[in-house]
Amino acid sequence: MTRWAMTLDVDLCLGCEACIVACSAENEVPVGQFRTRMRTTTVGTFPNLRTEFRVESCFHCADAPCIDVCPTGATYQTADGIVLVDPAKCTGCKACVTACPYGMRYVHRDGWVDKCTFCEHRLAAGRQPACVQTCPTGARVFGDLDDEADPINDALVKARSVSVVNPDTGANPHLFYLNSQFTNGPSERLETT
Amino acid sequence: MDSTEISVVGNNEGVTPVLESWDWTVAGYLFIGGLVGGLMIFAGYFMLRKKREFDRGLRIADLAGLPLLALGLALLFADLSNKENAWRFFTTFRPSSPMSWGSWILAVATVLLGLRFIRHHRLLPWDLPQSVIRLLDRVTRWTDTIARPVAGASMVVGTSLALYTGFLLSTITARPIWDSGLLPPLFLISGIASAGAFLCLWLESEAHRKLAPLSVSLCLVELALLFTYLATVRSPGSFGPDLLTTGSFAGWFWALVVFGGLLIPVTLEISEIRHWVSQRVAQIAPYLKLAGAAGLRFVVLFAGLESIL
Amino acid sequence: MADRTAVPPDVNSEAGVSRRSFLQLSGAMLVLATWIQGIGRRSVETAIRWGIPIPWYRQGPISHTFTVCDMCPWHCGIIVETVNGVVRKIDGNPNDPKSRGRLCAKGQGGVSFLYDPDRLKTPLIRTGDRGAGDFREASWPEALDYIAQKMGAIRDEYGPESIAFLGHTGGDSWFVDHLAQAWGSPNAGRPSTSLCTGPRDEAALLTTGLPIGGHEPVDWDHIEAFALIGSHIGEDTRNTVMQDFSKARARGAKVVVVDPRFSTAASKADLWLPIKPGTDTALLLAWIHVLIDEGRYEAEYVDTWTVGFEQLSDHVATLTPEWASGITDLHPDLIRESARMLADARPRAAIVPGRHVTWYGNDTQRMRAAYIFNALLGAWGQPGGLYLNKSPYIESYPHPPYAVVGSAGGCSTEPGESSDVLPLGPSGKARADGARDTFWRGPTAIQELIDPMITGDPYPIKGLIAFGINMLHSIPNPNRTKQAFEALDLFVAIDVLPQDHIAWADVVLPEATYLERHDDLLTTAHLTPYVALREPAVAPLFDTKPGWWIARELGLRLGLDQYFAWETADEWINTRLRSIGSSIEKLRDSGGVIVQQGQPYLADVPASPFMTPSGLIELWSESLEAAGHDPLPTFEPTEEPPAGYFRLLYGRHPAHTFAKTQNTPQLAALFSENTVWVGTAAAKTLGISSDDKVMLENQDGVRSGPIGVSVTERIRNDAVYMVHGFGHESPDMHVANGRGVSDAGLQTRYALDPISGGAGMRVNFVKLERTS
Repeated sequence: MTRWAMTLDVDLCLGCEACIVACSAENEVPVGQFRTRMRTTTVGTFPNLRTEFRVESCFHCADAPCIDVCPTGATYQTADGIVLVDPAKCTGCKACVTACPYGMRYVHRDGWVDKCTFCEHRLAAGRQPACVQTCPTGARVFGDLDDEADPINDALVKARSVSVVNPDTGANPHLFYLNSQFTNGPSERLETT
Repeated sequence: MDSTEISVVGNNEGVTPVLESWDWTVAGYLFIGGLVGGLMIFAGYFMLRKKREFDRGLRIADLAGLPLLALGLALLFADLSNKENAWRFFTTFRPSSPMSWGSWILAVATVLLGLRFIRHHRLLPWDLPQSVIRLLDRVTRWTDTIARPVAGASMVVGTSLALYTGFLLSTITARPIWDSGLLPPLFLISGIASAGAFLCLWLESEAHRKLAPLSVSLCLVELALLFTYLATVRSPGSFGPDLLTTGSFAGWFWALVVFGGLLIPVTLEISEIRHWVSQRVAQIAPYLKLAGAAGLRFVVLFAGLESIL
Repeated sequence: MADRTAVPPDVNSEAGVSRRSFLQLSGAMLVLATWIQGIGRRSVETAIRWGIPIPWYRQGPISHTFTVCDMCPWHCGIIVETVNGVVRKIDGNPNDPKSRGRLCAKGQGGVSFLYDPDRLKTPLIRTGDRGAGDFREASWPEALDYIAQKMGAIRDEYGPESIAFLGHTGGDSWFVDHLAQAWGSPNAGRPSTSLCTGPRDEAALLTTGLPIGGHEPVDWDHIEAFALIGSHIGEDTRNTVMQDFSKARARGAKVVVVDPRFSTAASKADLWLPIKPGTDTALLLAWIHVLIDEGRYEAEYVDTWTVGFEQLSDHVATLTPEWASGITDLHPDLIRESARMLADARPRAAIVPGRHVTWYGNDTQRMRAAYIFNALLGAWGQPGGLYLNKSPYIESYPHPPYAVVGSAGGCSTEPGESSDVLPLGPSGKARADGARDTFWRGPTAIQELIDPMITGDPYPIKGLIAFGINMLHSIPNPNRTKQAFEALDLFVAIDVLPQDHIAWADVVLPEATYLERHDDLLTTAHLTPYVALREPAVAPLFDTKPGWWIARELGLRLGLDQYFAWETADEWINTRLRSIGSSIEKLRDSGGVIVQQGQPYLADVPASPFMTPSGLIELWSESLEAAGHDPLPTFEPTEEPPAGYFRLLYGRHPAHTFAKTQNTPQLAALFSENTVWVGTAAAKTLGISSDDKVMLENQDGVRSGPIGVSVTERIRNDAVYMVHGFGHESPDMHVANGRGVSDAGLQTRYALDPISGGAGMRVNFVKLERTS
């Protein structure tokens, strides 16, 4: 079996946003809409500060709550764990948008609901997702959790810490953040300043 | 004290930082869905009891049911962002999805309400061709032969309809305010109560007074459900039910839903029974209840969109 | 362009089949297979999938072009994916020593830049007043004839020196070097020197005899501790540097960041020194003091490779961390700790040469202090320090001697290039920028050419050819520049976008983007010197033309035929490539680059590589003393902001290059307007919050438009910060117009570096006023 997943080493991530643009170009994401976003969190008081960059896109949860609520089967999960939307079946009812605890889905300018696909079309050609390939810092590792030899398992083992965003949702996200200085707290929520 | 600064690049409008996936059309639909469900329950009950005094009520339910449902469906359709695929609802059944249940419930409800509606075709303000009239009359005569099953179905489908509007929200666990098994019964009772209030708008005072004890009991049950719901719904800090009780929706919640929609009308109805107030004053009770029932859907929907795990 | 097809080089070649034909064959089969598979899978759904667009990668065969990015001047090698003649995706070229298969946000935004609907589309000739932006469309021959006629008139009246050739971005060499030198004007220059890296290179030439070059020669793969002085890696998103910085950190290298702002790099640092702006030289001298005082320097290296240690030792004897503490607002312990952190990793340690270093006017001396520190660590020419970069071997295109020797320089100054020559033009006039007079040496200081345009002193500059240079955003004090535009007889702007200065031009020539044109070969001095090819992925859109074509057509009209004997850029490129036994065809087959062997370390070279008069690293510089400058760096205080004012700092955003990309839709979507960063305490005093908008007014009373505020702990309270390059005025840049505020507009003064001619721009102060 294959279980695709991604890790992002937040200690390495410089918040350069290359992945966001690579994603948008590769997947023809309309300008002003995003499959990938970048969160900058700063905690502390001058000069004792910590700043961390965390890039977020669909977590391809093992128990993705977006799938069950879909009335037409437009949202589904492949055998290797990728959560996808079939635009041809999507009615735009937005139940999945509402059900995603992480705000990772959006209504595409042309009507259907859209989100990260782990660049499954690139995987099919033996290539890495666009965000992973372009990442200048090498912060991202994409691979198969079920393959022990896959570098992603090495990254997970060697990390000082592994976390997912808000595990309380029970969704079981498969984008793992490595070496984060921050534990899951209020800053993990979808608030902004 | 440590300060926290957060900024996000790549927010999608309507999703983050403020979720606005569903708007007033959905809230309006949830209200109308409950109202129509309640009307179907009343209609079924009236049909089974076959009492003369319910004839007017039944007629009102028959006449109002289909147009109200059509309005609800229009709101639902308006909310779809990919309307050309709306037919996809009816090419599959997905048991895990309340919305899929809902689409089939709505389909059956449309048929049932249609059957009840067409018997009153003579009240339509325009002339139908004779062939159509003959057809409608034949269908009506046929449905009369299966009156009891139709009545039963009406009650079951009405109940399902009102319940599902609650399940639609309560199965979305990502929104803590919705994550409660009490939401479906709450919406059901509220739906029945609003249907009762709706009927009261059209009934003579005599029938009205007869319904009053039922109406009062429904309101009390709803109050009990509402407070049990508030007390038991998951509460992760400031993103939980205190959005309703003390947070940004508190004003609407207390004024429109609790006081305006339940406590004041109940008081009025009891006062009317006890003859403490005149009938004229008590007549505003159903309006208040309808506004309160609509308010409940709006407040729960919008607070839910704001509440985050 | 379809025949320029290749496939990313991770595909193995088969024996007996030429790599290229094999790749084409397999590519075609892949497309066919995908198509058949697609039919099978989609047949059921096809009938009902109306309205669902086919993704670009299934619309037809994908062709790949190896070329070089130009979204910023770093010039990464890229692979461009094109379907049906439309560029869809750009990836890094894995063969390229800079990109190594990866790319930054700006590089990824190249597609959006190419298809920006606001691009200049046809030649324009001005019909209204300068600055009004009224033009009529013109044909290329008409526009070029017009320019040639005016240039001829200026030459006849004032001499060829009276036309300035300023340029930036890839391809500027056609104008700033080739055309300018053929024409005979020494007034040719680039913003990348006196407005950016100039002092850094002059300081290096004076200290080691080696320029830093376009690619800072940091031996990242082996470094164990390094310091960044104001370099904001991560916000300045030079792809390779982000890669190297991250790899070094992942390996455990220690990081010291000196910055008044808690930059991205500072957030990754082991030690952050939130220094008071303008006092870096004091810190560097104290660091040198610590090294010498505590014996934490490479004594043998210093003995062998440097001169002037005794003088240096005396010079810094009293410059203790305690002394520096009062100046820099840094604790003496922090100064000591950071110096030791770097020193204890020697010689695998260095202060990374910055990039934009024109800050306070004493910048060459500050950079010298950093280089001296590096010399004490034994960093120059040692593994883990600063390698000896080398340009790739390749010959220039053979042409008759130029009418004037070039002095435009650039951020890719070649090693060994002498920058203290002051060439004369055909009518005997040297540069008009005041070299040898108001400053000592170095390439043309372009900001010093503005006054001659206005005053005619030392002689009039009456013509200006501006290629790809953003005149009103890169040169401080745009109001002065606009005044200069008014006084010109001829102003030609060659650009891709209708940038702000276009409105003042007499003739506007629309250039093809880097994805639509050839340029001269990119020859990069590097650990592994290499040659890279830029060639078009698609034909030019609209009525745009490549720079080489424009320069050549102009040159022919100016009677410079002997310099333009070639007919196409291909011919020029192939002629050069022949000198190393290659060709465009071969370069394509080898994945777009030819990588040569370097000699990065002292152990690799037979004799001293240091091309100073002494042949050694000159801690104490006789040349400087002879020219009347301090032979050792000293701390010169810079003016403090008056009460109520903040020092205006500026920098980069990860998704933007200077003032070039603000109109690129996909990049603007990430960051569409700048804000002014204000420290929390300062904001509290001023009573402003992040919801407010403020006007900025500088020390000379120049006011900005409204700008948003970011109240943050991440900056000192005596300075404010904004991202450079915003506040576009051009109404034809529909995305960028009116967004944010231009820092250049608030820079009404600068401090001229008396050595390099650099324009120190961090000497401007602003006060904030809340708008209603």
